[in-house]
Amino acid sequence: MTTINHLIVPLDGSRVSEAVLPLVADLGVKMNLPVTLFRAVDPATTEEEVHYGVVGGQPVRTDSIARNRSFDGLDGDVQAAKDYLAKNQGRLSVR
Amino acid sequence: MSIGDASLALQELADKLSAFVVMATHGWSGTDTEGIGSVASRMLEFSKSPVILNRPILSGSPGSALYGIRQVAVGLDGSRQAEAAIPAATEMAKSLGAELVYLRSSGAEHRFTSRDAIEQAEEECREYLTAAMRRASLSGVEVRGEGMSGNPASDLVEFAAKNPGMLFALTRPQRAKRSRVVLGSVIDAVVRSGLCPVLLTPVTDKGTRAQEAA
Repeated sequence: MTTINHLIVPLDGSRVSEAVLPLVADLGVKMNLPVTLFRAVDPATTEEEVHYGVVGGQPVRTDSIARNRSFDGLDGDVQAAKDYLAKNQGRLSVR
Repeated sequence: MSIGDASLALQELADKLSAFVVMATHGWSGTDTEGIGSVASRMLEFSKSPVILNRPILSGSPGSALYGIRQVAVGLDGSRQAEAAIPAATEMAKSLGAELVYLRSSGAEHRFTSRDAIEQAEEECREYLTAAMRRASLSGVEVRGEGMSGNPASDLVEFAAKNPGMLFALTRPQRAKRSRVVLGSVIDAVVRSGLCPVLLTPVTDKGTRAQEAA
């Protein structure tokens, strides 16, 4: 029998990834499950937004592409990721 | 938080915690990986953990999980592989106090033109559901069965549209390299419809063959 012990929610900083939080809150509360919010920091690359096409001044699609970088600034990224996860943890707990 | 490749770190953590992973799809149409996202795609391809996918762009639709999950529907096709979705679906339905439904589309009206062939396929579908429901009942699980006879992918999407607050439970094979193939046409249609969250339980070819032989 499959046992559900835990929920993990990967977040990448986008509103799209955060759109699952209402579902997670619902499942976590009703199923009494611990929830782990997850965000990865990649030391080898940084992401840069690229827009494809513009309609009415708005990009119709945006992608992130990876750029090589050094380890400089990684501490800042780690702290930013921690702050981001803490903010979203708050969004779950206030429901 | 993890430092390194997102999908690898996520797989390791999910396996370590025996966790279900809940993640959004990008909600775009387009090529395979763009449709569900690269991390989601790699999770579906390699992870041993069940994954719940939710497409966000229709999150205000009547079928949205925002309204709470009231029904867990297992998509079955008569194979042992598809039945591997049943345990996780049953546990979720029990925990959520949701109705458990076994769905099977015979595909009869999609595959056949003769009335006899359609009726035979529909009868086989009914017999399969009756047997599956009997097995569930013997295990103390209450379940409703529902048979359909059109195109399987369209049938499931239509069922989701008519039943707000639903979660689909399906299996995903871990043998192909490209995400559309990994997902399969039925799963692909259900995920892309964005009408409800979809729980995908991994099954391996090896595991399926062992089950078939048992």
